[in-house]
Amino acid sequence: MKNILTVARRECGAYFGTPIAWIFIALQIAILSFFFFLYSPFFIIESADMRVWFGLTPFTMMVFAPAVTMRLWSEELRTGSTEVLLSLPLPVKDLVIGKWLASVIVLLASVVCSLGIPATISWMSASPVDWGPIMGGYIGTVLAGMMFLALGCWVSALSQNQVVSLLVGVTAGIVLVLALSPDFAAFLTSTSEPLARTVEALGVQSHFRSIERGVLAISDVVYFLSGSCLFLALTVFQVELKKQ
Amino acid sequence: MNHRKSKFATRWISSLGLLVLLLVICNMIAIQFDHRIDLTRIGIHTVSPETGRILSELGEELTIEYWVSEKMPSGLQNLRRDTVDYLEEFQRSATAAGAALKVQVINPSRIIEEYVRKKEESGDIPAQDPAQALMGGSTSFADEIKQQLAQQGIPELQGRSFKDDGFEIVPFYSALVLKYLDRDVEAIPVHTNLEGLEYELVSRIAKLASSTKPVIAFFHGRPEDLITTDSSGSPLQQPVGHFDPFVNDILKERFDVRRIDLTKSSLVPEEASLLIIAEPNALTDRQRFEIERSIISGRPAMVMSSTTSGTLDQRLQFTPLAPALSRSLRMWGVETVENVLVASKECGSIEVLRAGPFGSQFRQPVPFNLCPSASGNGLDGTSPLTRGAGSIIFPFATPYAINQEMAAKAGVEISVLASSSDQSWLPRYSPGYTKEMDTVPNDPALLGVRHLCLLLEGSFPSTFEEGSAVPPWDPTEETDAADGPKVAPMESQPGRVLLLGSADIAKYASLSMYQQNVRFLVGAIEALALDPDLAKIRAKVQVSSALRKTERNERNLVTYGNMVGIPLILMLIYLVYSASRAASSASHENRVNSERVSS
Repeated sequence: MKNILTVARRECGAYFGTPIAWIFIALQIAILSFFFFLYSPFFIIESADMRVWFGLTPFTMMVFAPAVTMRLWSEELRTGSTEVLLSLPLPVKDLVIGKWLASVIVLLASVVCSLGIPATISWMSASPVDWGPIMGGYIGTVLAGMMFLALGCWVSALSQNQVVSLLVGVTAGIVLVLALSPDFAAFLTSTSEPLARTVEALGVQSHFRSIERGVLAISDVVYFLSGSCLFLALTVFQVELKKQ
Repeated sequence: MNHRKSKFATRWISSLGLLVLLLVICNMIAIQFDHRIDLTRIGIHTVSPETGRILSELGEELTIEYWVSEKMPSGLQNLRRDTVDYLEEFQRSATAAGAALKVQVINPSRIIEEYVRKKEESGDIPAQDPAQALMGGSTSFADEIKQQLAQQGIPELQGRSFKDDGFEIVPFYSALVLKYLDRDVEAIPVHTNLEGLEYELVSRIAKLASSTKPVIAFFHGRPEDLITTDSSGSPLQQPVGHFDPFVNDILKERFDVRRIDLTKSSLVPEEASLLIIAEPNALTDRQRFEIERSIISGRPAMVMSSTTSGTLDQRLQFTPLAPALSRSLRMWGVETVENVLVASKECGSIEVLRAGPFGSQFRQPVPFNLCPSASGNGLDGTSPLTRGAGSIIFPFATPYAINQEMAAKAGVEISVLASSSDQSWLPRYSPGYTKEMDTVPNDPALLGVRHLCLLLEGSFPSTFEEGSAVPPWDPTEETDAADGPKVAPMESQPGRVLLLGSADIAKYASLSMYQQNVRFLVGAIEALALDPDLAKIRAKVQVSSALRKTERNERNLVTYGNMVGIPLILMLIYLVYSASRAASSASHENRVNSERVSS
């Protein structure tokens, strides 16, 4: 655990000591706010909740998570510092989890910075806001974010080119969010019901849908945690492979 | 080297395979034994356990059809998805309870298109009757099918959507239809939010599953008072009772209503699940005895009673009523205040004729302080009896006072469900509208909140002593106390009595004027008469959070404050942070350099 925290601290320093994390968070807030207030019917629906915000989360995650993680391993591979890193008396899994944890901290920082939205809603609400779904939405955001960041870590470990890592990460995100969507599953229902159900079960949207409206299901939590575990394991495998 | 790599790869791939297998198993177990935590305040997305119990009574498969358009108005963007998700949850609950339930989502546009296509293919010609068109009848195949759907309880609705800084009217469908065996279809023609959906579905399912309607006994204490003229004052061909529209058009749709006179030959039926006492006036002791026996047996009762009845037209005539149940109520801790209640604030309106230009007359609604209203904090929005009632208007009301000491002694618990505003007072009775009723008293002590609707719960004691003579049916009859029937011992069962301080609340004149009262009355009667589980489901209230009315400037402030303001603050924090780091780095460098120079 100490090793993990040491790595995480070093990576956090790299994130927050340079404009990367700040730009990432600021851009995310600006884009989400644009879609939430200007593009979506928030003022038309006139409902004091954050459903539209959380509805956008999987789509922003599929772009921003690879952007945050693209440098984690690609840069190390490009500069050759992986050799030094892997020669340290640290298990590879600690390195992987430490780096991933640092990206999760960036995610948590972005979540904290978005607290202006619920504060705004509370200010504009005519009656007491139902905080349960908002809390659920944030829990879902963190869970989904953890999975996307783990995916980003793995993709970053695949290539020493950061742009390639970003593009592959976004593509993988698109597959998880858009290709394996409930709409696509509905399209497949006429062809093969089991295939449609499998597609729906593998996709992020069907698992995020309940969270977005304030229902936290164990199966959804397990899905996101499993996804994180799987991608982290794949990252460990990839880094171990480099070590060989 | 290659051998080592391949050995490593084999080990890792097998480990990963094992991990994937483990994760798949974990996910399958989680899906199989899924547990959902509904984070909404009242668990609006969760089906109550009571629903499962009612659903378990279904013997055959029930079909719920959700007729919903793909394009919905602005405010209902999430409705389709939320409802579909909720129906899936409902289906899961039914399956867990061992009931067969099928959910179908139908797009009415496709049905309409299909119908029109088939008609056109068959060469039919739509009726082109201008008179019918003028009357709103069908003029095209699409109109034909829309009318057919409307007759099945699937009407086309209209909503508004924002478009180019204005509104556009969006026609849409959102109706639920329940089908069970060959019984009459039950429909929820207008479904626009999830609030109360569980109750709406379950109450209809309970009705479909039951081959008979619940029985309600209805007693009117002043049957001789009839409506003899219409609203314009012309005499009616056949006089009608003041409660006839309420009983025949509203209650009979849901209940088997048996009118009783509380005479020897017309008693409360054994199978009645509720006794409604409307406008009790000068009851005989025997009638009061029968009412008490019904309540003591555990049968819920609803009493619409006051000391004054009135007319809600230009004449404004008042009739005094004898508070017939006062003796019983007093024993249970409730005193009937024998004055009519007047409220200067929060009251219903009546239409009055005003003189217009050129000798014309027009009707204008004006606040009428003899119709006090209970709303906002004056209404218990959490009780299953008053749930969903935004306000209740009590025409010619008589308030109730609570005597907690007596109530405690009798073992009766009293809850206040509706109260008037604090600007209410009690003028003396008069057969007409007086100045005292029109003017707010100068003495603030005369003003205050009065209770207009009470719920009494508990095991009610009887005012008729055990072993004493049962009152005779004919009060003028001289009976021999020694030979006549005696009051038999009866174990008091837990029951509920709903007291409404207005005898006129369910009369035709007041219901046509205050339609919000219909919803309250029907809801309260259902909550009293139906399955107690249904009452629990009905009590689920979602306090919906809406945005308050905002100006464009305010909206711009929050939009750009969040979109530009927060990112700018972040950038500023970063600049300050990096500047302080640079400064500290420079100072450290300077210190090191100066140390080096000095050494």
